Amino acid sequence: MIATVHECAIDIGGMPILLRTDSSDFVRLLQDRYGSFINATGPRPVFELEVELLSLDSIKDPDQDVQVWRESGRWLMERGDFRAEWETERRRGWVRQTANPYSIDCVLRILHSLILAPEGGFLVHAASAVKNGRAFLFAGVSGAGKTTISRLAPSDVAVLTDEISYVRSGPHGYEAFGTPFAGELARIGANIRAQLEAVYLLVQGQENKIEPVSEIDALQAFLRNVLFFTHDSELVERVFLNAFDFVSGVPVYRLTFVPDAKVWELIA
Amino acid sequence: MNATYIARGTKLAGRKLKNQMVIMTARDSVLSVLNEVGTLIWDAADGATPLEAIVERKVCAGYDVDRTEALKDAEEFVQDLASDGILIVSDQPIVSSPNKASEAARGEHS
Amino acid sequence: MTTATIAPVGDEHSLLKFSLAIEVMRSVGEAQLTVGGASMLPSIWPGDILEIHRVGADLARGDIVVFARDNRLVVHRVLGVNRERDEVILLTQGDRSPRADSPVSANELLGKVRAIRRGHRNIIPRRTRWTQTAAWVLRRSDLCTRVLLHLAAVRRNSSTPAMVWAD
Repeated sequence: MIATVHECAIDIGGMPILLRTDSSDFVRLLQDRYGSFINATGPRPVFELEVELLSLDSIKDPDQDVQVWRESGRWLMERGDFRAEWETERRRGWVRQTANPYSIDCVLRILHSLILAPEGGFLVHAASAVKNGRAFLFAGVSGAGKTTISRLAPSDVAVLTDEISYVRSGPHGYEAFGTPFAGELARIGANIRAQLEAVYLLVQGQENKIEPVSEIDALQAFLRNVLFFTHDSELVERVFLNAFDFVSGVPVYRLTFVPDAKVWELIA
Repeated sequence: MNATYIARGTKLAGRKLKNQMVIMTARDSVLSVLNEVGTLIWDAADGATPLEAIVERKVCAGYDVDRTEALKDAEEFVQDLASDGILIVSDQPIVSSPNKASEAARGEHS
Repeated sequence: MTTATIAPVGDEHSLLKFSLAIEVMRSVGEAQLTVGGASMLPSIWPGDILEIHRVGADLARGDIVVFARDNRLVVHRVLGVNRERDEVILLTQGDRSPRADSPVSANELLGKVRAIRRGHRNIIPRRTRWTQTAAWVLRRSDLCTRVLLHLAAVRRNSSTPAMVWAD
């Protein structure tokens, strides 16, 4: 019996990845989860990923941190619930996982980080949103208000994500892209992009105010949120330098705010 | 007392911001930010200059500190960095081969 | 949120600082604490100054947290987080402690370590498996501990921030 192969392109950051699986149920699961990031039309993706589904009892140690390392020019990823490989040069790889959205989600975050690294981009624990055609990043320690400020966004502001922001370096500076990586907001972001105007370090307080931040404070506050998922020294260095250059190239402010919608009037 | 020699570690990423060195260790992606004195010691970690000389020429020269205190303080500092692989500490001069990581770690950013 | 009951034990000075630290933490969301004890070597040394901040929803295994117990503040690592209904219970243990602590409830939990200041450097930790491996080795080697402790001068004086115990 010939199994039908189903394909589905997930387009994040303007870098679509074509997923191939023999399960139409899994494709439906992906469509549910990734919504407008599933690109039925559009140019044929350059990146391809085979997904092989496993039975449930093949999960071991679900609490384990994902391990990512490089071997013979391939990237290997492993966690209790999945195994994956990715060949950077050939731009293809595979995932073996059970039929759940969390494994593929983790793999996608790592793959995008790997793809972004050589070109000055990275993923970072931060909320981001677009107002008046410009993007703003909101970083902060957990509980500082990333989800809160996303939730408070008025109707003319498009939330790109409340959890994992996607930053790419371009000829005119940095751009932020919407992602389907949602935190407690539990809503995928708008699938749009915009030039990054500023970064706000969030602090909840008794009034709304914006203050300057010293370069070294901005660097520490931001760098601690950048996604580092491997011990590979070359990649760590690349991502570190990307983040460093980013913080040096974009205005960073401290935003103290009272959790109500008026804070958005300050953002410009 | 044997002399102490220090050299920069490998598998690090680093950039300097004004007078502070920002270093990320690949092993655990922990970020370390060295203050001015720490950065002076880091800058002078060439594997060939004894720590005592570094302290005398760089730390004592620029700061009003007792020489013995400064050296004791520097020894604790370098051992701390060595335990995280940021510096290599030895009682012999250290000859390090140039590699990408060390070069980047020397990188400056104004 | 109910406050942990504090019975008057220990000298008034340190007890006052302990209460103050809790108060600052709960109103401002940040605090600084000096470390005593060696149960978190090699990640945290006696004498380190910890910057702690309020805990968020993403607390996970590997994070280093501060909680109040027996009239002192304790700094240990999170081994597990149990979320049932609205209750959060943590399983914690010092990296070099032989046993886990009895479970930590949300109202005992003060915050999470955000940065460690030690001498001429500021350290921003991340969740990692490597530190656990090093701690495994240490637990089996008293000599290693003695060497590390010898290098750490514990500075205690009245102008330092409140003490937190890694023991």
